[in-house]
Amino acid sequence: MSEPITSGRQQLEQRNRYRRLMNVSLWGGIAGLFVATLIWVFVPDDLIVFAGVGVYWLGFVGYLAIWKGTCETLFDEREQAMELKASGLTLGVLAYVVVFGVPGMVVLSATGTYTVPSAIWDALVGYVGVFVLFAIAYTYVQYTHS
Amino acid sequence: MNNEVRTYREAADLSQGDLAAAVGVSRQTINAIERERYDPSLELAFELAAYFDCQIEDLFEPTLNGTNE
Repeated sequence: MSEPITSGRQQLEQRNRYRRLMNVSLWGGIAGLFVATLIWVFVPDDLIVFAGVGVYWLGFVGYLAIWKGTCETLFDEREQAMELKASGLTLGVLAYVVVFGVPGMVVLSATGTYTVPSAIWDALVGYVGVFVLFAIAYTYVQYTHS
Repeated sequence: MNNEVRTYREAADLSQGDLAAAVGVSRQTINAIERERYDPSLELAFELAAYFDCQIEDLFEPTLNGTNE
């Protein structure tokens, strides 16, 4: 086997090792929170559930630390492109919900035709917040790419 | 975009995994390129061309105006 293939394989194995570690960290944190919540149901000591959240945060921080801390490229360009496309699709769906939903809800509420449940209102406000964040992120990216 | 990656890879007697390792992407990425489900970045296209010691246009044929030319 030629040298570039051998060293490439070692690099891919290293990448997979890091990704396994990231997953162990993340799922360990989630499992920790789940177990702590389960224990808390039977032993109602708030410290237990706080500890569970701490373990969850630690797991997530571990995931981020490995991801951002290593000089290895852990996700190749196709995986990054898939993530970008999935994000675009998600935003697209939210855009339809906001564009059609918000004016509809306002009109229904203003005319008294229908009382929109507060949970739906809150969700729509949250979605609008996502687009505000998107606009800020877009402006930043535009600034760094011009 | 049409491409000849599979032809070049098979001519070099490489598996998808070998080629992936040589250019630093996953085997799935090479598979997706060969099936024309994913167009590689310019950087990866150059890397593939350099690996096979050919020109990019020998490997990739862009689809222009929505038709295969």
